[in-house]
Amino acid sequence: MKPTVYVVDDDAAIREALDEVLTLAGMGVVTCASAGDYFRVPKPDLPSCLILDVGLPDISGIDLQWQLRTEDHPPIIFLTGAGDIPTSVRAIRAGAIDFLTKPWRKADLLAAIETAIAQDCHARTERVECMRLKYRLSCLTPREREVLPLVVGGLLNKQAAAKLGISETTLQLHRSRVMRKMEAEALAQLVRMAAKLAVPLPRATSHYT
Amino acid sequence: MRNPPAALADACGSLEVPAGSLHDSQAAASQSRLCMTMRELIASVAHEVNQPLAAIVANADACLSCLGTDQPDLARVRKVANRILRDGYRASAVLSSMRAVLESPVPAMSDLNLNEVIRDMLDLMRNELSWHDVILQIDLCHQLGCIRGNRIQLQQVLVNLIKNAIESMIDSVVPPLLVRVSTAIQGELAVVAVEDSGSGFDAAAAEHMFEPFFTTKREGTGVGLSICRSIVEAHGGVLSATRKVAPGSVFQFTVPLIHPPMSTQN
Repeated sequence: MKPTVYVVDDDAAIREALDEVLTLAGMGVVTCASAGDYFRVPKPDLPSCLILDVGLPDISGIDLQWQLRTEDHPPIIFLTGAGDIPTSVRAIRAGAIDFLTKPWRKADLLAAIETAIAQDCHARTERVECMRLKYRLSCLTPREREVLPLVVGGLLNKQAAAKLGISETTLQLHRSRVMRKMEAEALAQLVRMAAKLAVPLPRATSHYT
Repeated sequence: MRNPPAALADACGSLEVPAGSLHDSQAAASQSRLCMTMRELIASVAHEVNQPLAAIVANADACLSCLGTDQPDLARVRKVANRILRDGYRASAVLSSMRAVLESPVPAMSDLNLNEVIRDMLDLMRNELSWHDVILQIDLCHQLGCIRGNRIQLQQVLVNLIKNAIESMIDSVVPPLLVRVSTAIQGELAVVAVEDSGSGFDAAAAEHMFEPFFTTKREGTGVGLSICRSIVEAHGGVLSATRKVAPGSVFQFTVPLIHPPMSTQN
């Protein structure tokens, strides 16, 4: 599957040229003349990145980046006619991959796109992984869900059992079911999963201290 | 042509007027005004030329990648090369129009159909108007004859008036935002009016709005209307503003008709 590059620039000549260059480089290209257009175009579920002109007719590229911050969006590469330092610093701080001035060097642009697509692929894998984990978490019984934070929080079986007022054998049974349902092969793996799911842990120290 | 970036105004904000006699400070003010106009001009030329240049560079890259393959798609190369030509001419046209502005204090005048000039300009502004959800009403007088003028300068005046109209509405007015552009004959003059349903202006603004550096906009440079007035006056006309009874304002300017109608209307 070809990665998709969204190009948002109000200058038709720039859109055309980018379309040509990127298509030749083997990418899928979707061009938009404004931020509004970008919101309207269908976005297939593919690794992608967003090439954004700083000066758009409706809202500035920087404002668009700000609007997108709360949702999953492709990594952004900025293009600008005359880049001033404060704007580029703001853009990069807000997570932009690169800030290129027009005319850009093809090698710089392609390198930035490669980085952006790689980052998007990684983010997508993470999102899928997170969804998978959430699904597995949803398969736990209420009791197993009580056991999970205690186990990953570092409590000994005996301590965890005492906390829940159950026998150590029963706790071990729950614990092994949690491991199986979460598809964790070792405790360390379960701890990482819990971190990704942001499972609230019990207070750092056990109640014996 | 786009407005120069607002950052430019900041850059020019530090222009100093030395203390001294009134005459000195006036001379300095006019000097700094000139300097600012030059900076704005340079910034906008830079932008207008840089856009096609960027497209040219990218298209040349595309040509090279295309030619680098085993069996180059020559039709494609030709298509892209033609775009390079087109964008090259575009950049060159920007420069020659700028050169014309710089070289001749009196801009090239020709016989113009004012309605046509307005219609062409409105076509260019349609996107901007619809972005702001502005309803545009065009009311052109069909009997309007030709005037003598510079197309680009007159369009610059119109763009400025319409942008001001939009800006006076977007922050303060509930929809519908209305802009009405009309032409009429008044004796020997053509009258062009730009009317908005915006917040209008107060008496204090009315007194100073055509002066350079006067602005009520947060990011304005305050040169727009003063340049408009100079252009209109160079065309032998007058630029004026009136407040409407209903909210909003009317900016209008006159330009002498080449062949005024035999019987003047009143």
